[in-house]
Amino acid sequence: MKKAINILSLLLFTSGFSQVAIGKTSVSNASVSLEFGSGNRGIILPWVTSAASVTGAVDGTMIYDITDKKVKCLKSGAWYDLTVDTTGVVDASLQTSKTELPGAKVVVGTGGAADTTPGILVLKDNNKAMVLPKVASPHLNIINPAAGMMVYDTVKHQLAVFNGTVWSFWKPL
Amino acid sequence: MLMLLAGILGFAQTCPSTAEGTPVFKNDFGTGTSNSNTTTTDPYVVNHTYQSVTPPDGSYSVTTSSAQGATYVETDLTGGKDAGYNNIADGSVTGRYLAININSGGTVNTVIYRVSNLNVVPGQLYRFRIDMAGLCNGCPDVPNLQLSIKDGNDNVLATANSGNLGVANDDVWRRLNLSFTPTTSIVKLEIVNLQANGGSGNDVGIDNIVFTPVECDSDGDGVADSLDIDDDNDGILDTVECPNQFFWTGPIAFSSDSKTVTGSINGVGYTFTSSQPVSSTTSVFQHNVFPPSYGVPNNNPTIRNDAISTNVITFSQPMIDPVLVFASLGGGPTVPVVFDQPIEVLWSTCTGSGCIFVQNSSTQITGKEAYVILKVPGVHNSISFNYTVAETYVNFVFGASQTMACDTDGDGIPNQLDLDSDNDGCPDAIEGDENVTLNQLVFAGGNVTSGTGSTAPNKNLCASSACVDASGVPNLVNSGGAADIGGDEGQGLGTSQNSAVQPPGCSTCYKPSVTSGTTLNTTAGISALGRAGTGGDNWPMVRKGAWTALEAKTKGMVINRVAFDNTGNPVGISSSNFVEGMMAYDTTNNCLKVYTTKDNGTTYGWYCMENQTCPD
Repeated sequence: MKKAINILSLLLFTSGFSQVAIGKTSVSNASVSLEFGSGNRGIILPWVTSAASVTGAVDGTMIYDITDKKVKCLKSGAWYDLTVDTTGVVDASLQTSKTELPGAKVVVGTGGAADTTPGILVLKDNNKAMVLPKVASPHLNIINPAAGMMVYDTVKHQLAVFNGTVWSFWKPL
Repeated sequence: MLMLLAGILGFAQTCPSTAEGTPVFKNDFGTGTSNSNTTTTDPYVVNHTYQSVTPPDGSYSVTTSSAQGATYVETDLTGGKDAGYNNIADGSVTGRYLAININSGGTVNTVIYRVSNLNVVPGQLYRFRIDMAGLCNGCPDVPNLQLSIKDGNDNVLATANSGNLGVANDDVWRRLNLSFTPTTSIVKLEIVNLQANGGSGNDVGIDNIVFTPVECDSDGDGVADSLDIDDDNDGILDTVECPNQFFWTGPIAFSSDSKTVTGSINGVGYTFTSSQPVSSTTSVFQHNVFPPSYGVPNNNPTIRNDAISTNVITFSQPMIDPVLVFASLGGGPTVPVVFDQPIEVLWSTCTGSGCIFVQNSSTQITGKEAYVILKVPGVHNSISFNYTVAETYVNFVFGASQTMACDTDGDGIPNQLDLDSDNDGCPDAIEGDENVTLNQLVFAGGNVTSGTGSTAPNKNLCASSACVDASGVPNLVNSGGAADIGGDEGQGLGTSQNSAVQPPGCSTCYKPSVTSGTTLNTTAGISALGRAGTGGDNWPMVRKGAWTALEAKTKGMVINRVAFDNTGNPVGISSSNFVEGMMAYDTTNNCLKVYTTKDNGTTYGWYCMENQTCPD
């Protein structure tokens, strides 16, 4: 099943799709798990209370940690800092008073309903990959991005993440 | 004429940015804060007499504005300030200026201020400047002055008139400049009155009379290289990037009349000339008295002096901080030695009963069986000293420091002017040992560059006078600066002269987001907090600029976890389905991988994105 989400999604319980396109009508090919349209937009990672609060996280989990205002990825069981800069700013007041629903989760992949991987969005399949939102020079073209944003810079071929103050950039080793 | 033109062009090419060096003459008339010092005299005023307060026609006062009792000698219309030395607007109410009530009828076209016998270097560009103000509020007779530079025979070499400055009787300070390149070695400065009427006005304030060389300012920070201790604004001081080295004299040779000794200090020749014949010894008398740490050479031959004499050492190129050694000064009688410039005693002792060593002043020592090592601070073409009493004998040895040729990468630019001293592509400003980041770099001012063979941008820490201290060192690495570690001025060498090391910061930067333009709402989202839409805090629209927002307090986004084969490609994904920007977690090699390019789009592959970088 291919599912295009063009409207606001309100998801309270575990839901499952095999492929998802956002901002476009279809994904590029059968190996894509998640893909975005073209435009000056990124994806906003969940603003977790702290990296330590993300219980049971598996390698490949990505977060925005509102304690130190950094984008991180779990790698070999340890959080890898993708922001590095320490001047991040975030206003998380809209969520601090809210109670998290334990079962809320979206799984993209076959057999998603049975998946037990902790995460708000889990790209489950081991033979697919997501395509990052692609923006030319995101630091020049995404206006007032939210903290925790992640995009692929098509001009410099770099991964870029935003901590609420500045973008950090990554290229291949 | 052709040579002169070529000289001017050469100057312009090598020094796009210039600044004032050490003034040959400078008079800012000082400051006054109490009754005893708010007014004073000046020795260079001509044809006018001193009257401290309210000077009438033909009189002057060096004064603060507030010390006067009449508006025609005050800057009352502009806040009672003098003129700022560097920036004319930075005057103060305690600053003094020269107020002259010019006696116009009798003194038109004659001199009101004269400074004679100034030594200049032919071919060097100079600037003669003054600040002037018409003081008699609204009066019809507006001051009109001329700056004039003359040679020793009163031939006029250059002039500049204030006629085009827009001078008015409005108490506003205006600056009159005269550029000048002498062909003689002695000049005279004059300020000439050109206003014929003085019955109602022609009361002029003059401040900051300056005659100064105009020199290269390689980094464009407003501090000339000769005064700038960081010539390239990489934050690493010149003396650190290229330390001076001290050398003692090598072997010496005596002229046939024994009045001249020649030798060299690390290849720089010198001539030691004495007014009386000198002789030699085969070693330094009681050489073992000197601490070994100074390394005083025990040469054969060594200069020996017995007579009252004047001795001059002339170097073939300027030498830094010469060091002079006297062994057994005052062998027998007590001998005062007088120097032509200030000295600094580094070490001294004397031997035997009744021996003496004293430093009488900054330019005189006196010894009886004394042993002295002293320094003549500064850069010198020559130094001289007099033995004023005859004695049995004193041995004399000396040395000096030199600026070394420091060009680590051999690109022809010495390290203190090279923005990438080791040509490793990483700017010196970052490779220095403090916390400079790529974001803090700016495109360099002046004409400093990274040189041939470096891929580093022509960037340093400051391109103007706004971001350096008085010595020309960027504030970022000075005490309290954003990149400072040491709490001191400047930063250390770090790896700036090691081409094998490039710290990660040399290619890392952070960029702020753009804030102007149309902000896009995020219209899709996945929340674990049970809300959405206008009734749910307007989430996710309130999060800006995304396709989708994820929201959870203890849950992340888990991307596809994929095994990779030994060719570096993901298992189970056909290469025909690879799309630039694809991302997965590589469970084989444990890293975040993106399908991207390392050669700007020629070839693509799956790579671990663990090399922090910069989109510039």
